[in-house]
Amino acid sequence: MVTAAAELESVHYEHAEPSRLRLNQLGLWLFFLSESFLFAALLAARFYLTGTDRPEHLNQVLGLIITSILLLSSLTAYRAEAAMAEGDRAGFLRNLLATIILGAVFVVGVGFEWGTAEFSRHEPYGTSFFSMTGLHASHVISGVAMMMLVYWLGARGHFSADSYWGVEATIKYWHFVDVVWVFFYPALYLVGW
Amino acid sequence: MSSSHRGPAAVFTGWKVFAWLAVLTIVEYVIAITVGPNLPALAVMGVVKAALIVNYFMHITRAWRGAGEEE
Repeated sequence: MVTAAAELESVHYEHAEPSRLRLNQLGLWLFFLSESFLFAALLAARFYLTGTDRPEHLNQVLGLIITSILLLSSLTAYRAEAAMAEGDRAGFLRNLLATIILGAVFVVGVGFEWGTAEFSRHEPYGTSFFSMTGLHASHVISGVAMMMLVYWLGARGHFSADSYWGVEATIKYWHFVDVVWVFFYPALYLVGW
Repeated sequence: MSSSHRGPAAVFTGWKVFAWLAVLTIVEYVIAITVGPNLPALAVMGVVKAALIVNYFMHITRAWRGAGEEE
């Protein structure tokens, strides 16, 4: 009787783990979907407020540099997750640290842009620019904070090749932040005459 | 976790996607600066870049699979 109960329990957990992971995945993607509506509203507001206008003195070089930094950080984040999937903890930590540094550099770049911008937050374009980059930067900062936590846990032996949902979810969030910038960058820097 | 995220093939995929993202970003920049901003072209390139990230880096197809199931 006890053996049968134990067998049943074992079967139950064998099936519960994949289901829980599937639910985690779906929950995360639903979270991304809800966030997308927020970012899409800001993107729509940018065109509603200013059409396709943008200021003449926009720091295009800085925009391209911070965009490249964020794209590069997606590669290092991807490699960090791949390393953990392989059980390569050193590679995971190395790539995650690179991602954290690149994320921090991105935030510094946005801060520099805010400090040197030749337009005011009171202008329609400035309202859009500061709202969009501000909300995005807050997501970058929270992503960096989560990656620091994951790095700290990973350095202490947490996560393994068979169990790394915390790593996967954090890195997916980082990629999502990158996807948002893929649309914000042309909308803020490249569209306009 | 899916085995498609493991091994040298995964590393190569990462670099390949990054190369495409870099090329598309440079094309966006060059078009906007030299030819003039072309909203439809920028929108299409943005969608392609987002699709690359969502498919290859975020593994959207895994959202419907549990642990241990292959992609």
